[in-house]
Amino acid sequence: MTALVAYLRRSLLPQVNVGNAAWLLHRLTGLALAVYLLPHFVSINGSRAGPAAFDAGLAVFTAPLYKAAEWLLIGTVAFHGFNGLRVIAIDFFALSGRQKLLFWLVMAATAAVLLAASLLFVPRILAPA
Amino acid sequence: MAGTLTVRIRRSDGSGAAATPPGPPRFDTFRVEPEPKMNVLDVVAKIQATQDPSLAFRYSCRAGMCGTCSMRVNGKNRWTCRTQVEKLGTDLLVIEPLPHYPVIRDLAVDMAPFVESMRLVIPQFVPAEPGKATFAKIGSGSRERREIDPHIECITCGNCYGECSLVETNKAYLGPAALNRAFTLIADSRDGAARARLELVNGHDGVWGCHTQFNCTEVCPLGISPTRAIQKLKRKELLHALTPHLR
Repeated sequence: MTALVAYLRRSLLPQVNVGNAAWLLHRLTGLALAVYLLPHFVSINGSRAGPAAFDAGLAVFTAPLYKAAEWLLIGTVAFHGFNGLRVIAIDFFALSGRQKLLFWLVMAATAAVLLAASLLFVPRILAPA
Repeated sequence: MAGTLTVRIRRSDGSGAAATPPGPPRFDTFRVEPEPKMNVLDVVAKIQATQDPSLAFRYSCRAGMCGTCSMRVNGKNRWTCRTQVEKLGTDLLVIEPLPHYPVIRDLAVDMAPFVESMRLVIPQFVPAEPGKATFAKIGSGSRERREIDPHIECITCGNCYGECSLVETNKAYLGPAALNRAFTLIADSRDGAARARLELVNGHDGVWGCHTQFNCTEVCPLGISPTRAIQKLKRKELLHALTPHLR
């Protein structure tokens, strides 16, 4: 038990350094987007069968569950994009001394995008067309 | 003054050469009466003197100059001689050897991987003009001086190497201190081995292995940011690749 507590301490305490959280979130959102791209290509490929078939295919994605997932997708893209800018700032513009501030700015910008998206998405999730 | 300290120390007989001893670690618990301004090294020394003479640890200067007393205390690598118990804000101390090093015994680790990483980057000054009789003039306020200054105070205590998660996943990774040292010399116009070092650190085991998690920056007792040095090296590598004829 004491070993477990010590292990958890050792593993969890450095998390106060936001650099780890930023890296992990960047990696997870990146993988999620890579996985998302595959079915995305497949559904977009439906346009080759003509406009009617394409519209019918996309109609599936108006279900509330897909709308909620789309809202999450926007958050995923927002974080990955904003943190990508943070990484570029650290790598090429000598802003590594500001990495923590930049991280919280990334989080604030992501939250702002998600909030703005909610205005559009919450009605569609609650009352699908 | 706080109450009696509970000190949990990770023990190992060092029979395993691996950085992480096989099997679950054994923690021994000691109770120590705190004294005013007591630091963690005092606590460990008191335990050895009064409770368990077999407890192994290393220290030398006791004044924050040598770095040999470094241990992991409550989840963070620190110089134990410069860590006051009162300032930890708890009566529970969990003391472990520095991670990523082979344990010799208990809290004493083998610094060999760290020393080897330093050796690999040509850590010594290599004069660009060995026969030069006059001093180089580099002003204290010059751009070159200001670039290098924040990175030169390293005493090679190895805390950053023990904190770096890239060292954890890639034992060939040079680590923060070696790359920081390489930067100070590469940026020095008097040094003649800059190009050789740029070639040495240009790879996944060098600057490109850094994931900019800033663990080394967080843990450095001297407030050096090896991450910043590595990012500067990345820019130098890019410039070097684009303009190989320049220094």
